[in-house]
Amino acid sequence: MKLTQTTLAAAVAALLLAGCSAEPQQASTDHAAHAAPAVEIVADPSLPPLPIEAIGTVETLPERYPESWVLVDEVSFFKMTAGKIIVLDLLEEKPARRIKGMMDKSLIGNFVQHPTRNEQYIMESFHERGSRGKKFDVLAIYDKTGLNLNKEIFWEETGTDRLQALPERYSMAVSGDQKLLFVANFNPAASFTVVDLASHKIVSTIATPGCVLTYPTGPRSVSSLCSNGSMLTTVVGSDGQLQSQQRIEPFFDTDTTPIFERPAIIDGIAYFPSFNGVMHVVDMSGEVAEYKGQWNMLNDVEMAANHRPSGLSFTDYDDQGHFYTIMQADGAEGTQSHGGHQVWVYDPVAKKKVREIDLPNWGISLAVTRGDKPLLVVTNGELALDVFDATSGEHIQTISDIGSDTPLLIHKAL
Amino acid sequence: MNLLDKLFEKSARRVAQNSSRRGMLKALGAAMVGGATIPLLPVARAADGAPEAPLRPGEAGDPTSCDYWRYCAVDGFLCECCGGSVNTCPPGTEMSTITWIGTCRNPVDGRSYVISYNDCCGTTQCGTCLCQRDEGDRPIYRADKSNDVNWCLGSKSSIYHCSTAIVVGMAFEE
Repeated sequence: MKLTQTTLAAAVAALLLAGCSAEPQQASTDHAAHAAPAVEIVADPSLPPLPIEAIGTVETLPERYPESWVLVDEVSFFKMTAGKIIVLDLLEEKPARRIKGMMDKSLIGNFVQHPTRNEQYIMESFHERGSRGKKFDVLAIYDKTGLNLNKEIFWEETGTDRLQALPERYSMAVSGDQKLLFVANFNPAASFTVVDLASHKIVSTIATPGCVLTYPTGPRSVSSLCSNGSMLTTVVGSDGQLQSQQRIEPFFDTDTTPIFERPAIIDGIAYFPSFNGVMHVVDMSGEVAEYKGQWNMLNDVEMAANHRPSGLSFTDYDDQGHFYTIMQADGAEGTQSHGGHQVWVYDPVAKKKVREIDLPNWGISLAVTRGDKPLLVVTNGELALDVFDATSGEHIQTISDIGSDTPLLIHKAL
Repeated sequence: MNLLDKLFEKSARRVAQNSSRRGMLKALGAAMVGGATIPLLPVARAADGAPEAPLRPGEAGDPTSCDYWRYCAVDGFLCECCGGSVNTCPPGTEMSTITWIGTCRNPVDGRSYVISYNDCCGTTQCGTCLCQRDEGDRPIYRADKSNDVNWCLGSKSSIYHCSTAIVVGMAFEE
């Protein structure tokens, strides 16, 4: 009996140790390929005993994440209460070292980083008892260094519901002066809520009838796209209260010439591609958004081949001012979200394409990291992440097995 | 509810079992660019070998299949595979009262119909028969035509389960 207990205890300990090992023997193929070769160990009792280790140590992260890091929005479409944000190093070759940390994100929550404060924000929802009971919309404020939840702000006082839809880069935004947070609501009346970031308090909720999302504009304004093809800019004061609202005249037809609501905003200029490859330009650097016209992303040959922008969260930019988009050939009505076989890179000031990057495994979403040597990361057709040198187009590695099933939106680390 | 992805994973896996990698990608691409003329999304066929649901007069096709005519703008799990049907929710769920609509052409009578894609809510995601077509789908600035929104937002529970495809009228012919 004693022997049995001892054996059982040893077996359990071995299992636990194997389970906790940084390099598990039974890891995925990806991990196993990087496992060190087995070495026979001969015990040497003459060695000094191991030092006593502290219990309770938790890792921390740098306040400014390295350029090669991204934050992967795991939507968890098949189990929506189990979404998360995964902090990931795209250049780490060792699979077991790629993940730097995670934050929970429930019911297709929305996420945004503050560019300078040690804060990042997740807007999420919970029911009291799993799938039932009262619903709570909650703004969770985490620090970047510890991924600690430092504050929860409940949405009940707003009298509305936060936007719950497939993830968008601009379902939340930090104001240009970095003092306010704007959060999109939809119930289905559209509005946004303003949170003061110094006090961590809700200061107002402002209706935007027929207009959705929160594109940061000027120092303290929000622009939203409207159902009639126009854009509404809401200006708020330093106290977060409504000052004025102004509309741009409609610049597209939402039925016949729709644009994607997913721009890349480069130095205050928003570039909105249309379904059929026309780029619409909106200057968001001033207090009120100004429409600056459109230009064709396609030449005659490309147009004849019916190339189109396509994907889910498929636009981004690099610090050199380039605009990136996934493109598909032979596009059609209904394929606008399906992704494509290439990434096209534009100089949006010169209004011309500067390079094409072939995608070996299709592409649905993308992000581009900051810095002089940007990386392009693409959610591919198998829902793994392909990493490229964004300048040369060279494929660096494919990342999978990061605890993610539906990584539909990727954020560069600010 | 929109969902364009796992779909790719499932279709990719299925095709990959019987073809080379290049063949898989070509097949995936073909499936996705087919528009209305090619059977879309070789996914979401819950019922390999299962009997087809009885059809109504004037309709043809398999309501468990993603290329069924009513699903032209759908994006989500088909209730037909989850204990419900094209126009009913599975037991224990609640049908959303607000939703998005599409306009789909019935191949049998040649007419276009307005289809209401009411979500069924309150039970965790059905997780099978994922189907994404997106014909006429628009971003959320056109909420009435957007399948990206979780339309369970107006229900007792905001938990999305599956999507129906209910005929609510004939569309105006252009």
